[in-house]
Amino acid sequence: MRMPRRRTCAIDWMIDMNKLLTMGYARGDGGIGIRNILLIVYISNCAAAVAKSIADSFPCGQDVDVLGCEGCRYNPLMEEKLLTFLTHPNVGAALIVGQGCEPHSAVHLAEQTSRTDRAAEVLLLNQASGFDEAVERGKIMVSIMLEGLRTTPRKPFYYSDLIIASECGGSDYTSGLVANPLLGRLNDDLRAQGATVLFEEMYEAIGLKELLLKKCADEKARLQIGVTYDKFMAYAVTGGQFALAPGNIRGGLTTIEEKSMGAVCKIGTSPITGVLKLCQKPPHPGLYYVDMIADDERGCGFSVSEDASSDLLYATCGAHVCFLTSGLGHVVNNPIIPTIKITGNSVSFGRLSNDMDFDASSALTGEHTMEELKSQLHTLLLQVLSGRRTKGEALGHREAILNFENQTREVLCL
Amino acid sequence: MKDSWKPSVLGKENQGIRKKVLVLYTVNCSSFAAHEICYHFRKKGKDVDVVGNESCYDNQMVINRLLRYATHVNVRAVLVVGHGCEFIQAEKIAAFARERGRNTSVIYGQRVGTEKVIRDGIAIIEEMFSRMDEVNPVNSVGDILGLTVQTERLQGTSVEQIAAFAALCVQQGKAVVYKPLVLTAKQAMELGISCPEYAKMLIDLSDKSIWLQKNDRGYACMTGNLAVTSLLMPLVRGVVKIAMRPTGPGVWLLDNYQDQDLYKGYPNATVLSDLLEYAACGAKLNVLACDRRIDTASPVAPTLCCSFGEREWDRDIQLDEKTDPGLILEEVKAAEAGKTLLCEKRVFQEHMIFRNSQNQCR
Repeated sequence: MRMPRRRTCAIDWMIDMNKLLTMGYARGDGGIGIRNILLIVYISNCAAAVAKSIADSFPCGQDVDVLGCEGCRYNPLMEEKLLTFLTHPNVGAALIVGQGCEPHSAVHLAEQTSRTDRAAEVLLLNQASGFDEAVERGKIMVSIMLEGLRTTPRKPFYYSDLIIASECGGSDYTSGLVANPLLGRLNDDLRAQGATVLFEEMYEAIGLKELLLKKCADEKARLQIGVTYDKFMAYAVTGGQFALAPGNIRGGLTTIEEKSMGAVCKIGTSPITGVLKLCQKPPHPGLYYVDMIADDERGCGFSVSEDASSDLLYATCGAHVCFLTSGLGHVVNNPIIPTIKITGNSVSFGRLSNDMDFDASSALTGEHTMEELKSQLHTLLLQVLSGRRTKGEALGHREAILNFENQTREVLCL
Repeated sequence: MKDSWKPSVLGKENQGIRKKVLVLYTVNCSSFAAHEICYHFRKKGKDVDVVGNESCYDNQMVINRLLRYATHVNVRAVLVVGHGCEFIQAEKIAAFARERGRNTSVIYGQRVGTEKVIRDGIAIIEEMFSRMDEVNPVNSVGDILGLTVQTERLQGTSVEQIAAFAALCVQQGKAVVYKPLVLTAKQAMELGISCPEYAKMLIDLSDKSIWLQKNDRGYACMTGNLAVTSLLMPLVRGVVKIAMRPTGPGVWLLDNYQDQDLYKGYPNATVLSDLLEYAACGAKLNVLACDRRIDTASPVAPTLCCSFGEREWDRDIQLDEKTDPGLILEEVKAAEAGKTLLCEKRVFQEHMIFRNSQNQCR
């Protein structure tokens, strides 16, 4: 449901919801993307080398990206995830590469993708005579589809179309002082304009259950957040591990609660609308928590957990772009949604100026106010939405690993 | 764990069969740089491999594997690429390998950024190659070979050929590590392994394999794997769990299943990751027997790909029902002597290491 576009915002330079953010890429299923990616998806690890060889033969700027499923076992949620990637608004065409004998079907994925008016091709390695021949065939398929993408129609992209993901990683003492609160302020503004904001990392909200419950918009959201918090807490206790990494400690954080207080700042002050499970789209604009771990021990549980993979999973809920705050600095990006990396640590930015997108450390020195930095960050966001490459995109980063979770479609009561 | 025995007839002074530089990453966040560094050299035909961990969290089984790769007999030098803030400590892995005779170095992406870490990594490996002959690690492990059978249609003579090849290897003093997809309780009980610890491990392996197959939407249909498992039973010496080495010649069944909460740490579940598991158990070389096309570029331990079937596809040996198992052994010898295998010519190396939890007292 699109929000009305005639409400005027009180914030100075942010005009109104009818403001054109950019001209997006129109998809046949109604989606609007900010990138026009040709996505290569491999459906088992056995097909990964061919898929990556094909992607590697196209330069960074051509928006040919690759991701896939590493295991060779059927998992309904994995299939759904792959399909949401293939039909993500930022994706315009797809090549699905399979060995030919794995439990997931490349043909089925291609058929489902084609139904959204996207070009989709299948490359089965069992039908090729050799590795090199398979790569060459794939390159030809991609080249033809890239030609087709040149004529993708454009369509106005408004705040109410925008879905933002918020993540932190490599936190240090500055994260809770600058980068996370700054992102929280921007998220408040974006919400006020009608955009949707997503967040996750309940592992990094440990100790703040009451605070989160108070931020919930209604009783249903309170129930969902409470249940989700308890699930994460149980996993952390069972696994004997909390998300306070050695780097966090070296960076000046002393407890998981201290880290959590900084991490939660990034969601801003808007009420929490509810909890989404993987592959669920927000039913209407709001501030949503995305539950990214398994509901029970089936699947790999929390076997894979790092920032790039979490950023990628936001794409299953329709996020167009991701903010990643990091005091210690970060280098990752993911294949579908551009990642804008922010630090509040001038030393980190100095070291990683070719990787980090935004230096917010001047808030600590008093050179800039948070409001000024928020305005600059918003401008950067608009530029990225309009096609400016993030540092991670420009360098060709495309990390992320998919896990084999099982989830129900409802938030469970434990 | 005693991990040495008399070198086999085939084993030349019981050393590695390659002089690899291994690029090892500690977390997914440093995987991009690690792969870029590795591929820079592989595109030039250099023997550089890449392997690493994806998850940020701590896991002993992942660490055990990484330590095995860093000190594998085929690895002469190790570049550990860390991110900087992760749980798994790059310096400690490098120190472990250094103490065992490897030339090592550590770099962090978070400290210098993508472009510099890649430049630095390339420069370090160039330097490692220039000093490669100075490094002469003392290896005490035995002569270990990984064997995987990936077939749906193989039966009869073909299966017997693979089993006969394994028997030949054992006769020559090799330990053959083999992962049975399913091991029935009957098979486990009939083995009559004298060592009570191995007997217990065997029963555990059987229980876990059956449980997983039963609860994961049906049994695997790798009939060839099941048939070869049966034929190998008389040669079984014991069980190795994740990153454990065989302690003598014979067939060793690999148990890389989670011990508790079976689904939580699902095993790697692809042939490529199984090959990497064998390397963690000390395999110098893997043999992949299949009846379809499988592309592998296995890191650490190269893979001899032998496949049945008349269709043209990439493989090192084409087998048919008349092939003498001794031919496979000859090809193994050739590969051990330095013959470049198909998988070694490929640039991209793929694998996935899952986090598992196992009890490993033996």
